[in-house]
Amino acid sequence: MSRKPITYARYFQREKSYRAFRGTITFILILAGVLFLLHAESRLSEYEASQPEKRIAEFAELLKNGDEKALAMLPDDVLLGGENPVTEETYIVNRITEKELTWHEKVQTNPDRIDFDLMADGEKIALIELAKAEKTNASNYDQWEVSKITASVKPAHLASDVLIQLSADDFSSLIAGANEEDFPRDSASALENELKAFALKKRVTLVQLALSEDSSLMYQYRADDTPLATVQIAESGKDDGASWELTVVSFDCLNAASVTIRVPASAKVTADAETLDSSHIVAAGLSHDYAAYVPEDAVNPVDFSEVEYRYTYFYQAPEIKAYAEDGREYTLVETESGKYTYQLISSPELFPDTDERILQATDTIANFLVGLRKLNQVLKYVEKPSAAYDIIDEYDNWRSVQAGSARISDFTINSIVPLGDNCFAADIRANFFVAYSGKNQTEHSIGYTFFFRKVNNQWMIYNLLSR
Amino acid sequence: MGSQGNKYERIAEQKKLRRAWRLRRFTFFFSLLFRISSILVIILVILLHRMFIGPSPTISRMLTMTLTETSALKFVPHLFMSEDTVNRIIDSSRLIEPEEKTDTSLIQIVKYNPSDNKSPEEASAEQSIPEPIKIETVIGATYKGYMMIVSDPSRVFLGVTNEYFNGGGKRIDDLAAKYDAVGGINASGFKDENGMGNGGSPIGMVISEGKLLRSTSSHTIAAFDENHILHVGKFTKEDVEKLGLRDGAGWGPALVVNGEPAETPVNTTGLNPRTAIGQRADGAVLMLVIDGRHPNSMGATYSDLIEVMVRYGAVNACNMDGGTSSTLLYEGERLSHTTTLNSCRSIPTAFLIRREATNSEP
Repeated sequence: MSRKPITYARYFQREKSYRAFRGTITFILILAGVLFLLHAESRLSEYEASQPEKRIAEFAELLKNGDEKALAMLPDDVLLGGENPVTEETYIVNRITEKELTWHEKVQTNPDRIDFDLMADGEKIALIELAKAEKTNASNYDQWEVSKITASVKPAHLASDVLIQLSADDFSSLIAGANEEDFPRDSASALENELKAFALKKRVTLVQLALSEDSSLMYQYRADDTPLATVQIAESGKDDGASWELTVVSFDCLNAASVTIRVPASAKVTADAETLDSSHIVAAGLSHDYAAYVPEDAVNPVDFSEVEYRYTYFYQAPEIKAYAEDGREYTLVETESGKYTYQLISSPELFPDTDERILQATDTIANFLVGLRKLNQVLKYVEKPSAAYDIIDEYDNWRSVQAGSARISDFTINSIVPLGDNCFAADIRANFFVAYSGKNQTEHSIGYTFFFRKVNNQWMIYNLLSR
Repeated sequence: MGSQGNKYERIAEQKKLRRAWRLRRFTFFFSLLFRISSILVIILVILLHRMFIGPSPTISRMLTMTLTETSALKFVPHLFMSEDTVNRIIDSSRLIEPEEKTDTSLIQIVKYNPSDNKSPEEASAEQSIPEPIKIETVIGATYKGYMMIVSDPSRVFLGVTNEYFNGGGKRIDDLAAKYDAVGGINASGFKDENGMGNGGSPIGMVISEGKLLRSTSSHTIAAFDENHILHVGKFTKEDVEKLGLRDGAGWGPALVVNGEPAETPVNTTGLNPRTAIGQRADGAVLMLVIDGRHPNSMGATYSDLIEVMVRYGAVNACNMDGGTSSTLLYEGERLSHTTTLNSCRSIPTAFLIRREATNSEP
């Protein structure tokens, strides 16, 4: 059997077929490779999305932001502290605000469940259980859902939860309640600032006291060194440390502050040894000694054995004095309706240190006005830099519009108004000297009110008002 | 004459064309092979790139840790990621070992009463006591392995190549033959630069049959004391004398100490063959070997080891050398599947099981 003779035509024909074959194989391989890589990419994304850590991270982020989605994810039987009455989601939310959330997986022995410890700033705040959800067609990997949350309620946590609710707002509520119409308006805003600063300066701390006779733990709240209230926390039978209950709250009526404490319904609340009970709640808002708050969603009529309620106890107001322009002295007093107003106490002729204030203020204002063209020179005389920006902007704008050189040539202090021991206002009148680009020169009269506060024994400009 | 000449010319032309075609076919074949290989290599590189720097940081971390734990392929992640990124992944995957010392009161060794002149195996058959040596298969999502439970801890000791570790290492079956042991698992890590080590030079402390052979305290060690209680932690030469440690090898990390599992990092470690040793509260010794780097069993992470050890009731447990060294031997048969082509690797030490218990009373 002889082989078929090969011709040039057949040679080229064969070569063409082989080239086509090679090209087809290459094309198929490239196509298969691209499809494979696209598939692998989607599988990688899917795998990442199915990671339990991812789920916890999403959940923690939502929880931290107080997002309703996270709160909705909390199952109905969510346990916050076992049988402890502190069963609000806000418990966890309160504890994680402004903290760095981390979590770590616990050793698993059940393949259908993964437990994570959720920690805020390294402190364990909850155990979160993820359960394997039913597989969907959309994913090739296991899906995990938050199935249960158990808060780590330790005695100190429970007590500090109360502390979290104490804020500057409680203190400044004193000011919010004040009737400004009873007080000279010019001084009111400066005084308010001073009062807020006073409130913010109070450092509220929680101090653990010795064990009480019945082995419950006692904590004391202090504003700086002033005791505000004592709370007692008792173990409610379980030994896993997750069921402590706030049982007794005792307000110290002698000290000045406003304290809001949320307590379980079963807790005993006293004010200067007098027990506050449901009858006081009925009288909420009528008594000038305290006001109790019943949640809006409480059923009507209120069953006090069930609801958790919140006591807002107003102590005697701190002695706050204010001084009017003419030197009259005022103090903040509580009215019968529970609001606060300023009451005239005396009308002294002059304050002993007025001259000293005038000297220091003159110095500061002079330096401020001289340094006005350079921001960094001005700012060292100003306590609250933002206040200085307004006048600097105004000065710069004015100068650029006039397209010439300008300076404050001289000034006089018209009046000094003491607004308390550490605060006063100074009215100044200044001459603004301008040399226009067209060689014309003129002087403008301008006026400002400077508010001063004493910072580290130095009078600093706190605010400015253009007149 | 003319037609004869044409015929020869045609034959010569035919020969030339056939030769040219054979050559052409040969070049076509290799060009096709080259194209296929190139495409496959490109796909592999793109795939690896996407796995390292793709949409899944979890896969990236796992792959990085898997490769950096090997001797020969630890360079691969550096081809796709910066030095800093690789180091950050390694740091974040470090296990936080418990620092407490072993509480010996947590282990209450159960004594058997074997009849005179009977081996533990025979005594076990007569009495309702646990089997002296029990081997169970352990299966997880990414791994398959073997747990060998030795109910009498006095039978477990550390076998070594020789007291001075001169010369290369030995395969585990040679070590078992040297001591006439029933079986055992690999123990210490060893110097293994670029995967070319001969397994002769152990890393960390080595104590064998009461003799301290290497006193380096750099690594966590798992060591049995004279009462056959397993201690896990970092010990100095003085501690060895004070605690009366008789047999132990260094590597780590500690997986479980006094019943408390080590804190696992958020980032997982790699999937690799693993070896671990632990002890239950009744004194039984748990020897775990996980297969890895093949389709049936990719390997296990430290978290997996901790889970298995906790599930088997380990009070103390420690990771030993893994990778290609991981081997479990029983009655001369290697149950685990090694990843080397030529049987198992040579190693310097192994936790071995004596045929009979020692006479020393705990």
